[in-house]
Amino acid sequence: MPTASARLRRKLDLIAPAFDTPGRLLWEHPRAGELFPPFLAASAYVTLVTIPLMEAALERARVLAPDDAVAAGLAEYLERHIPEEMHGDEPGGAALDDLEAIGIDSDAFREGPLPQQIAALIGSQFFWIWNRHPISILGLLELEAFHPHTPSLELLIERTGLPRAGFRQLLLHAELDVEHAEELHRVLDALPLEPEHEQLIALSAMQTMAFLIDAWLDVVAAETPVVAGAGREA
Amino acid sequence: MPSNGGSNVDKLQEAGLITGELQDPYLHAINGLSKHEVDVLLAVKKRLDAADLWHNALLPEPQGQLPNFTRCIIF
Repeated sequence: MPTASARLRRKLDLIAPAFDTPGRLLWEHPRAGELFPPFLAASAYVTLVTIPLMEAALERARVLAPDDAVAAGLAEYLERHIPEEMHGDEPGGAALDDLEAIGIDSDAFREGPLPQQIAALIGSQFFWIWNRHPISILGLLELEAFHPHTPSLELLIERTGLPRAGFRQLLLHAELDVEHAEELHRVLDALPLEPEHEQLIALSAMQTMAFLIDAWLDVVAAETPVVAGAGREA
Repeated sequence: MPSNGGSNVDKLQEAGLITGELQDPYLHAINGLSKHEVDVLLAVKKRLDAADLWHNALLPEPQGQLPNFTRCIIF
């Protein structure tokens, strides 16, 4: 009998090639150095809200925990995992530092309009946490299993010609997320998940990936990518 | 047990996401998709079609074919 994490991964195998497509376009693009900053920025929006999303899930899980073993186990995991993902005093601050290093003004980035796909991604997560079950957050976190790989990042740095400082968090997470994904899968397999929990986690992961595919394609498949704060010299 | 009346494969075939004969474990995974999950896959297909980027890429290519730098995700 496959485990819950194996069942989830099998479903995500179906969307993984499409999830790789925008990055493949970036890799092959003659203007990769120009497109990488807005490409990274699209996922940096998610980085900025990951801690607040986990905190919302933790808050909801604590409320449900007395009568809900899945919520209790989730709360225990998030209490451990949130500090691991802080990476400094300000949630997402390290990612903003990387954007600055490749020419994106982080103040303008924060003040600019949120891409609609990213707004939908964030809104969906909050909706599921408060109206379905906070276990949905594990679908978002499952994207840790789709971390970048160090040798590929080294090639990308070379290909884009951008400062290495713009890749610090990607390089860090290429190492960290191997362990984080393994831990997440252990949690998934240990929780007393019912089929409806597994469906919600899978939907959360697939929908998150679909929103990111859409946002990334707006960068790499458009002639003139637009991102708030872009345009400074790196 | 199919969660969607056993029609997930048909829907994905009609949309052009699946070509050829599917085998397990993917057949089992597809039959287990919820309606919402099928809708997500169809939306992704539509988005890739709009950018003329669909290459029957539903199922994974052989390991090692794609560089994995593509996942610029930081959590």
